[in-house]
Amino acid sequence: MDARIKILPDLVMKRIAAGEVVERPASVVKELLENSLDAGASSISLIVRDAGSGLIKVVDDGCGMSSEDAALCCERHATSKVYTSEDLETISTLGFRGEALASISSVARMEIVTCRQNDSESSRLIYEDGSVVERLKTAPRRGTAISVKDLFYNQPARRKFLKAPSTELRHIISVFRHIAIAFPAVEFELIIDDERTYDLRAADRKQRILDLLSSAQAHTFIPVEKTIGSVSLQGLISRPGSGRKSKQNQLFFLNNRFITDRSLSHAVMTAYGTRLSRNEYPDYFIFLTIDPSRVDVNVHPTKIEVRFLDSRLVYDTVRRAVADGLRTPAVVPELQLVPGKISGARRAAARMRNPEEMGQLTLEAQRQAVGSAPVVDFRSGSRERPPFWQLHDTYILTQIKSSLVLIDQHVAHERILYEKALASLEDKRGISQQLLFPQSVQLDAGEFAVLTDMLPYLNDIGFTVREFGKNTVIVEAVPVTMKNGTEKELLLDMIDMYREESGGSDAVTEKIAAVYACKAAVKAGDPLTLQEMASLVDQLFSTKEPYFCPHGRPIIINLTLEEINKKFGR
Amino acid sequence: MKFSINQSTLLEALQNIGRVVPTRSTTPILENILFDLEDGGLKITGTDLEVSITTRVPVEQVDTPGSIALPARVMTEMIRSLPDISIQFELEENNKLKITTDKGRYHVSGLSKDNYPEQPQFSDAENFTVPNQLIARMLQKTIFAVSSEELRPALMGVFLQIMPDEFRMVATDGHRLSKIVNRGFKAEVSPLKMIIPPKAVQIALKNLEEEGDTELTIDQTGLQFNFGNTTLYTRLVEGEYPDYERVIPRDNDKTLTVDRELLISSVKRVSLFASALTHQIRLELSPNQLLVCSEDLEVGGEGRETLDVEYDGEPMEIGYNANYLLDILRHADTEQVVFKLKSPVRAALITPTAENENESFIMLIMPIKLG
Repeated sequence: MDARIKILPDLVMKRIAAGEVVERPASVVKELLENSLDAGASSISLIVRDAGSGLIKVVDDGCGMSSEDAALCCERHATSKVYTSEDLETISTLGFRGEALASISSVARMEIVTCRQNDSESSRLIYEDGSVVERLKTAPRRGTAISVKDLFYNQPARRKFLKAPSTELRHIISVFRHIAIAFPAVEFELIIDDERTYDLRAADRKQRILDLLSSAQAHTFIPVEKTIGSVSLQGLISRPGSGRKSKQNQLFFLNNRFITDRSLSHAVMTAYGTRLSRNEYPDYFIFLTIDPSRVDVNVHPTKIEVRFLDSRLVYDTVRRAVADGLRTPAVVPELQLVPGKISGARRAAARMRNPEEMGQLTLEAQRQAVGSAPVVDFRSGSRERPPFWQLHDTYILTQIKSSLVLIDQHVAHERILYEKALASLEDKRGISQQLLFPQSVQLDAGEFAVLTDMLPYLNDIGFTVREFGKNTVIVEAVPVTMKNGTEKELLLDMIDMYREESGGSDAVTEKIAAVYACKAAVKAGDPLTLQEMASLVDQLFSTKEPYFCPHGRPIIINLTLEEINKKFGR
Repeated sequence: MKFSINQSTLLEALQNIGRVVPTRSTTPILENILFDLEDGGLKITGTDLEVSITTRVPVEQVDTPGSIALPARVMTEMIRSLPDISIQFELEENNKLKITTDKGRYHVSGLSKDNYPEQPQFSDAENFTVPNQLIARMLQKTIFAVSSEELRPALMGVFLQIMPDEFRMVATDGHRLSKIVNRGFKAEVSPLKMIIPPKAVQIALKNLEEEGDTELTIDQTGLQFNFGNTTLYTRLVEGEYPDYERVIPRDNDKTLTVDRELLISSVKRVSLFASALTHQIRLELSPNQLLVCSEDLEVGGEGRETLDVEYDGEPMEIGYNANYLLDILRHADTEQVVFKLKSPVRAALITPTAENENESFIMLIMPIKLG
C-alpha cells in the first residue's frame, strides 16, 4: 500500500517519449522525410491535409523494407542506421535514434506500405497505439509510403495545444524547404490539401534555392566558399542592400542537416558588419561539411542543435567566408531600368556583374585623375571633355568602358573617412591639423558625459579636445581629413549620433569611426571641383570596401550602355 | 532706345560684367544683364545680388533713353563672334531687341527692366580715396587665406580695418593667416572695419588700374569701388571678425631662413608623393639643414630633399599641409623668407626678409601634428 511509485505502463511511456520527438505535425514531416532520404530515395512526395493534423503522407522511391523490418520498425530504438555505439561517433545518416516511427505510431494512426527492389509484393501494415493491428499484401511498388492520420487523436491535450492551422502549416513548409535545400539532387513534391505547392526537379544547390524563393526574393546571391582545417563551407549569401526584413532565409546546414546555431548567425552578421542598414537581414544559405566525429548532433531529439568540437574554428570559417564574399566586386549594385520607372538602387542591386569592369574603373579613374591636373573650367567653353561630372551637387558621374557609373559623393567620402578613422583608432596615430582659433564648445551635462566617454577615441582619430571648465571643452586640433571650420557642429552632431547609436553591438571604435565619417564627409549638395572629384574617386578605390558605405548604403551604381540602349529602343 | 556701338568696346564691357553674372541661378533673371541707355552713354549692369558691376560705355545715341534686360550668355557669345565693326541696337515692341550689322539682322528676346533687381542704395555713406597700388597689393597678399567654409561666415572674406594711423587687411581660414599693415597711408575717413567677400576682391583686382587712385564708398552694409567708368558694389560679410591678434605668436624663438624659390620647388616636388587626402609634408630641421620629406603610406610613394638653410635652434620635426605652405611662400616676395618657430604644435610665423617702407607683412601657418 505504501508503494506510491510505479513503473508506467508501456503505452504511457511511449506516448510521453513521443512528445519529445513529435511536438507538432512538422516534426512528423521531418522524421518521415529524413527516413526517405536515408533510404536513398531520388523522388519524394509529401502530402498534407488539414495542416498535418488530418493527414501527413510521404511517398518515396527508396530501398523499402522487408515485411519483417516493417513490423519491427515501430518498436522503440529499432533502427537500421546505427548498430554499435561506435557508430554513434560517425553518424552519417539523418536519423539514428530509432525513435521516430515508434513515437509517431503511438500518437497517430499510421500505415506503412513498403516494397524492396525485387519483392513480388508490397507489405501494408496498419498500426494503432504503436502496434501492428493489421498486415496485408498489395501489388509491388518500390519504395515506402507512410501515412500518418489523426495526429494526437489519443492525446487531446496535445491536440489542443497545436497552434492555428496556418502556423502549423508554415512550420511544415519550412521543414520541407530546409530538407529540399539540403538535398537538391532529390526531386521533391509538396501537395497541400490537394494543391501542388512545390514541384522541384533535381537541380544544383543554387537552382534549388532559387526555385524555392519567390520571384521577388530571387535576387542574385554571392557564392562563398572556404576551407579552414577540417571545416569546409560553401554557400550563397545575399548582397548587402538586397536583404529582407525577416530572418526566414538565414539557414545553416551541417553535413546536409538543417541546424540552428546562434553563434554562427553572429559570425555572419559580424562579417556583414556595417554594410547592412538598420533592420536589414541578409539571406544566406550556408553549407558546412565537417567530419561527423568532430560534431555532436545528439544534443536534442530534433537534432537541429549541434555541438562543435572546434567551435572557434567553425565560427572563423563562417565569418571569413562571408567577409571574403562581400569583398568581391560582384557586390556592386547595378542600376536596372524598369520600363516606366527607375527602381530604387537597393532593390535593383541585382544581377552579377563582370568583375573586370570594376578593375577598369580603378585604372581609368587613376589615369584620368593624373590627366586632369589642369582644372577644366566648364564655363570657359573648353573643348576638353571632363572626366567627371557632378549631378545636382550630389552624385559624381563618370564613364567606364560600356557603362555610366554614378557615385554618391557623401557615402563615398564617408567610406574613405571611415577607413582612415578606423586605421587611426587602431594605431593611435591620427594626424591632426592644429587650429589657429581653438573652439570652445559649451555642452549640457548629458552631452558632456557622452563626450567624456568618446574623448580617448576622438583623440586617437586626431582631435585634440580638452576639458575646459564645467561642461565645456576646447577643440585645439582636428583630424587632417576634416573639412575646415566645422569643428563645433561636428562635435555636437557626433555626440548626438553616438548617443542614439549606443547599445548597438558594434565595437566602440567602429561606432566612433562611423559617426565621425558620417558627420565629417562632404554632404549632398556640396559642389566639388574636378580635382576634388578625381581625388575622391581615387581614394574611394583604395579603400577596402569601395562599394558600400559604413551604414550599408551602396556607393556606386553602374548603368550599362546596354541598359541605356535598351531604354532608347536601339 | 536706339544706338550704335563698336564691337570691341561692347565686348570688353560684357566680359567684365560676365564675371559676376551667375551661369546657373535659382533666380533666372540674374542670368541677364541690364542695358540702360542714358543721355551720354549706355550703362550695362550685372549682379548676383551679392556683387554688382555697372559699366558705362560711350555710344552713338540715335533715339530716346530706354532699358531692357538681356540674356547675358547669348549677348556675350553673339558680340564675341562679330568682327570689330559698328553694331546697331534698336528696342522694338514686346521687349525685342533688334541687332543690326552691315551684313546681318538679329532679334533677341529680352525682359522688361521691372523684372531686374534694383541697385542697393547707400545710406550714411562715407567716401575716401586709396592709391590703386596700395589696395591691390594688400588684397593680393591676403585673399589666398580666405576661408571657403560657410559654417564660419565671418572668415569668408578679407577683413579691412582702417585705424587713425594704420590701414590693414587680414584673412584667415583657421589654418593659416595673412596680415598686412600699412602705416604710411592715411585714409580720410573715420575708423572702420569691414569684411569684403572674395568674389568682389577678385573682380576688384581685375579692374584696378596700375596707377592712380580709386574712390571707395562705404556704409554699414555695402562697399563700392568707383573705377572711372565702372563701379563695383558688394554687400559686406556680416559677423564679428575673430580676434586674430591674440593668436599671433610673440615668443617664437627658433629662426629658419631659407631661399624662397628653392623651398617652393622642393615642396612642390616632394608633395607629389604626399597623401592626396592630407597633402602632408614633413620638415626636419637640424643645424643649417632642412630635410623636406613626404610619404604616402597607401600608394607607397615617398620623397626627400635636403636644403642648406640658416637654422640655429634645436632639431625639430614639423608637419604642414604642402598647399598651405606653398600659398604662403608664393606670397612672400623677397628672395629669402624667415620662419619663426616654437614647437611642432604651435603656429609658425613667416615673413619676408625685408619689409617695404611703412609696411608690415606676416603670415601664419598651423602645423599638422604628426601621428
